[in-house]
Amino acid sequence: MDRTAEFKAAVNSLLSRGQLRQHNNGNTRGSQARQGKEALAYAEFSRLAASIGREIGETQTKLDKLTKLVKKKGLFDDRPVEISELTHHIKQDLSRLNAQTGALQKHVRATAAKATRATRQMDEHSANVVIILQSKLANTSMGFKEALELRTESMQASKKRQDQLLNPGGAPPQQLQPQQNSPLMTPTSILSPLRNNSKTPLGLVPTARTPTPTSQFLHQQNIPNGANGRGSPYAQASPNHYPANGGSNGMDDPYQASNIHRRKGGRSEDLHGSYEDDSEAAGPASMLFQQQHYAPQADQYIQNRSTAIEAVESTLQELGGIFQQLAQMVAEQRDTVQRIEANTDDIELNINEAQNQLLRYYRNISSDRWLMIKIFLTIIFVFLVISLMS
Amino acid sequence: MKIYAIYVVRNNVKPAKAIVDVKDLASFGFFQRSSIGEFMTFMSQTIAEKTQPGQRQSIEESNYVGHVYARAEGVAGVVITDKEYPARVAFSLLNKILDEFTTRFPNSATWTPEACTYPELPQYIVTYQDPKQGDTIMKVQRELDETKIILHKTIESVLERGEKMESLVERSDVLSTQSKMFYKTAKKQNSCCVIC
Repeated sequence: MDRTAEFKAAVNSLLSRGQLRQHNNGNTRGSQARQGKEALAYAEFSRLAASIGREIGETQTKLDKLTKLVKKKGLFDDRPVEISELTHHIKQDLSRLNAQTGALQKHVRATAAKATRATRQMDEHSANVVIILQSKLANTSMGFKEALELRTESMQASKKRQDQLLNPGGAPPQQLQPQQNSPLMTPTSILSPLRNNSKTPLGLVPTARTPTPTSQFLHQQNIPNGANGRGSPYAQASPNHYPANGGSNGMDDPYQASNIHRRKGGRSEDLHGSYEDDSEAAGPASMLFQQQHYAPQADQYIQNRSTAIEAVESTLQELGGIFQQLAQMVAEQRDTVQRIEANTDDIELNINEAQNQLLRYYRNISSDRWLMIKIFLTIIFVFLVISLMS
Repeated sequence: MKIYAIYVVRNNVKPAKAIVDVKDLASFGFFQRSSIGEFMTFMSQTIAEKTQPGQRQSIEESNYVGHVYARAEGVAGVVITDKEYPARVAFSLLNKILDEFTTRFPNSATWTPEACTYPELPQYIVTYQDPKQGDTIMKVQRELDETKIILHKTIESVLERGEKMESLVERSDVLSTQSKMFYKTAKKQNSCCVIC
């Protein structure tokens, strides 16, 4: 545990007492009174600094415990409840310490404003102590951030290992995601305030939703973490960490919730309606894993069926289109048919008329008296010509 | 694509016991049939034991695939096929068989090979040898494809009909003109055109 600040505070108090004694030996009462007041103020300051240092030490121990929990590599025995509790505590402590160091710094600046020659050393010293406390706080919060990142990585690794163990066919985890999507869409009330805390260091829950928000989240989270990460060790770093760590507390609970929902969703998506006769009793964790293994299998069967039926549907649609084309072509040919009909009507008309004409002509030819007279006269004329010739 | 065997196995007791089964091992040599049959029985009982109720699984083993579907009543159906047989058809066949079986013999006490007679099973294995015949979806798909082919031919015929109609139109136009000329000539003939 880090007790340097306490030590420094103790040294300060001793020194101040030594100074008081020195000054008491050779000064007037006014300066004595002033020194007494300053010593009081300085003792106050040293007490505050000591308490802050102690609390930083406690936070550091908690952080060490958290790091140890996170580093445990078991597949089944990480304890998200403890980790989330610890994270919560550490966050609260960090915020409180931040506030206290802020107050201390203001106090120091206030006393430095009325700096006199004699107290300048003390003020400088107090300022240095404040700076040291702040740097310690920044280190602690950076360690906290690293622990959270470790936790994210370990959760992702464990999830990948689970997928590898339970999908021996080498199916990629993306196959689980469409199935996870539908059951995970239901606890949106849990997850949506989390999404609004956009800077989450744990990318796990966004991974489970859809691929495209995942990339957005990771992109978003990488930028602030990278910007804040290793740079300034001073107080500016610590407030920036808090929104980044703010979403992490609720992360583990939705992960549990998503586990539960995935279990139920795996069951309900298993079969289509008429064969759903399984009990809804929540089994032990082995059931969960088995369902995670079987659900993709049943999912595949259902997907095969759905693709086959979709093929049938598309064939039917094509057939519908073909029928429509057929109808259109026949309709286009309709006016051609009408033209032909009109033409044939004309032809019939014409021919009938011509036949009438010919009949009249034949009648004229066959029964005309004037024609007979003409023929008779022609014969007589021919006889006359012949008789005249001979 | 062949089905080799269909089993209905009772898997709520361990070891699992086959209730009814039918095998079609005609593709194997005569002397191998019995051993292959026994191996298939053993395999189907094993995988029926290992399947949880309500789950479907496809297990691949040397050159057979066993599709198993377990119902919650404690009975499971296993279909052993070769590798090319589509899994979907196998599972729909299993659905059908298990439905019929459970409606016919709902009492789990009567599940003994002697008491349960299931005569349609050999029929099924024959009809489902060709997955396109047996499965409803594939039958529909096949008929739709045939209809599509017929429709394509119909459209070609309609195109030819169009061409013929065009030629008909032209011909009727020509005829109409000619008949008109004929009429005019006849009319002219009939007017007073005196010879000489």
